[in-house]
Amino acid sequence: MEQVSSGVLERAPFKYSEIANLPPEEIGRIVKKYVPHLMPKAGVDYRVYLGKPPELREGERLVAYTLSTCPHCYALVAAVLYEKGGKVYERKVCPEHGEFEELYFGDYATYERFRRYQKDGKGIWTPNVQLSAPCPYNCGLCPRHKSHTALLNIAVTNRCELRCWYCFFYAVKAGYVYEPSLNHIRFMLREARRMLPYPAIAVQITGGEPLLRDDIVDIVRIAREEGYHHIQVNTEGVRLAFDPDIAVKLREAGTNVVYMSFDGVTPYTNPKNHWEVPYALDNLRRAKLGAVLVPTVIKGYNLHEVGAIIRFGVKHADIVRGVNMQPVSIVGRVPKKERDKLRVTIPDVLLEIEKQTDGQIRREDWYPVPTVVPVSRFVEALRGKPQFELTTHFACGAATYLFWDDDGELIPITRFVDVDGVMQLLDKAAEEIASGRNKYIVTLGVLSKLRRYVDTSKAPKRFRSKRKFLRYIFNILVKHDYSSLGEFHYQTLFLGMMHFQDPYNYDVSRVQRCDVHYVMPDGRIVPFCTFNVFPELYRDRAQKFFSYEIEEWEKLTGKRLAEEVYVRNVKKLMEGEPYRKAYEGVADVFSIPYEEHVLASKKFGIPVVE
Amino acid sequence: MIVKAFSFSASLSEPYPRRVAVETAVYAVSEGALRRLECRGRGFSFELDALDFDAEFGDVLQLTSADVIRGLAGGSFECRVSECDAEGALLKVYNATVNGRSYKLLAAYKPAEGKLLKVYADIVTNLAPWGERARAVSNLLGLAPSALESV
Repeated sequence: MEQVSSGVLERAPFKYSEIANLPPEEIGRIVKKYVPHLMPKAGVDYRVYLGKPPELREGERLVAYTLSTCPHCYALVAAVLYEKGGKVYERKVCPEHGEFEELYFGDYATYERFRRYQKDGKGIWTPNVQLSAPCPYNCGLCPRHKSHTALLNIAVTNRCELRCWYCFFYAVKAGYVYEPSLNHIRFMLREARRMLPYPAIAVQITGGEPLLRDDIVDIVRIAREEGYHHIQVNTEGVRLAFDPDIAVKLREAGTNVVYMSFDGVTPYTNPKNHWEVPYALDNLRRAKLGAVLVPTVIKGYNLHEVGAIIRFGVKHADIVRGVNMQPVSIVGRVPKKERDKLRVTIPDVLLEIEKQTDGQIRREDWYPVPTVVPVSRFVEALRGKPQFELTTHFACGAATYLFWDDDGELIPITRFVDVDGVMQLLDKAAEEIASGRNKYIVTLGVLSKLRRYVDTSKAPKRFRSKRKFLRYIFNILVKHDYSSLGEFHYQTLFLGMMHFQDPYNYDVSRVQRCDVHYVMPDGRIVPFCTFNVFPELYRDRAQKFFSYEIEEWEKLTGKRLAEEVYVRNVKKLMEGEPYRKAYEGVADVFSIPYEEHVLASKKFGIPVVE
Repeated sequence: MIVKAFSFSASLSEPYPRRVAVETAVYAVSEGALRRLECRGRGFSFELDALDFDAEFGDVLQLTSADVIRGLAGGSFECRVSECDAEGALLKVYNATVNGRSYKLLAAYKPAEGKLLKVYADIVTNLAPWGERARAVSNLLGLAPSALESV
């Protein structure tokens, strides 16, 4: 049995292949035994310094206190959030590693506006772990957690065919293959379905690159069998681009949408999959499987293209269901000067979108995620049981819905729907039902008043029929009809923003409200921002424990890990009709010399056939 | 064994306004009846008490020490920590007021492997009627049906 100095087992005292094909319940029984070994250890993995938070300095105004972590040693420390020059910053001091100061939210006015919408969830009534350590070293989920899982992530492999320069996660670099068996995956998915007050119903299958698994379609099928209503597959899109059948098979197995990385509209900003995305979208189109584009937004890198990314989404709105931007999370030891060059937060991206769309999508058109809680509370009051609620922290994400007219004008939903009015109406109605008023009478009142909050004269032409628009709302609110929501989505572009945390801007208050979770191989369910921010304590520790040694995996599968490298044929990809059409009217990609395309790919780490 | 209990009033401003007040009474269980424990009081320290505070109210009230810290800018938090000598099973009764609404909440503890384990806790977001909760706690702690009438 291998043992490291901290007393934590680094690998399971058995080969993963010995348990991989056991029944799911048996796998669950075995892996759960190791949860105490895998939990972070006080004094070894982290320390606690809950002294006084740092003092404010001249010109700084107190916003809030919070708990954060030292980016170097993960010590839990007190932090202060303060306003200066119209922005919100976080400052903390680690007794060992000194002071850290970071931009927390790029606009104080937006912070205050978003804060008004905060609502907490009902907590977790069936915690997976007992409370024995401070947050975030007790995940999870523990009895402290406030939000149920809105989106469950399950990593099904750490293999990847790309060699992005910044990634240290994939199998070759990690030195092991993490690839849970189908029965193990079934166990993990079941764990999240046991959760109360509301079981997980949406799952994202992720990796590594999940499409490298030959049994990816079976995984989707299993998720469907285990009761997940919404299944999305997160991919860089390479296999989708070259294998038209896989999109069809994924859809037939029950995939609702593909989450595809898309960092910009030029080879400079999106060297990861600029050339493959047009082909992937074409194949998805044929398969009638929608995509959500997921740009990671970085200052000085692709922030200047956020408007163009949205226009690209609108251009392909027949198959693109949304654009979900993710302001960069800065990992590793990065000096402050360097961080300042890269750092953007949600309000910074909103401001850029406003500028780059000539004011067609304004900052005020975006709402923080918990804005929609009154919808859940109203449906809950009608149905008498807990409903799916998005109660994440207001600083974590924002969204709006975008419509457009034939002349290309972009029209956010807020231009013809009074979102605040609708939410207040539903909030009040939920309270009335809770206090004993007849729910049918209250609902009739809601429906009759709803039309006051919709001004279809300002809506895009195809939505000018108030009746049609209200029918969607009626079906979603009253019938709680998932297909109506889907139909609504097909006629709009969802614009989302999700700022995952990093060790520099960490806020325990945010993580306790997180609703984007990972299920780990030992059955624990862990917020995204502990899983990825403290990889040595959560992600890597658990995955390594239940992994194959590379040699064993290669012997079992007959594959060679080192040979799984994608080599790009830029020339061939640029010559194809889908490529030419995809960027037409959005970016003049053909004015960029071929050599520059090749260079962009190579610099990123993806070799090119020449 | 020393058991902690917290009585506090908090007015928190961030991320949204909340007013919470809790008076905690600790009862020992002996021969099917409850006996209120006399405890020693002291002030609250985040260094010493944050984890116990979370263990106490993280589930019951959805309130954590991180919430308290967050809300202190423009808010207030006054807390008395009671330390009680106890042996065997325990019942904690929280007389809580959350944003003007009053609740009587229960948490039951039983000794196991040298520690007191929380075996039952009311959760303010998932409250059954009082009779149902009282029955559940009585069964768990082996109390007479009338034992909870006076708490």
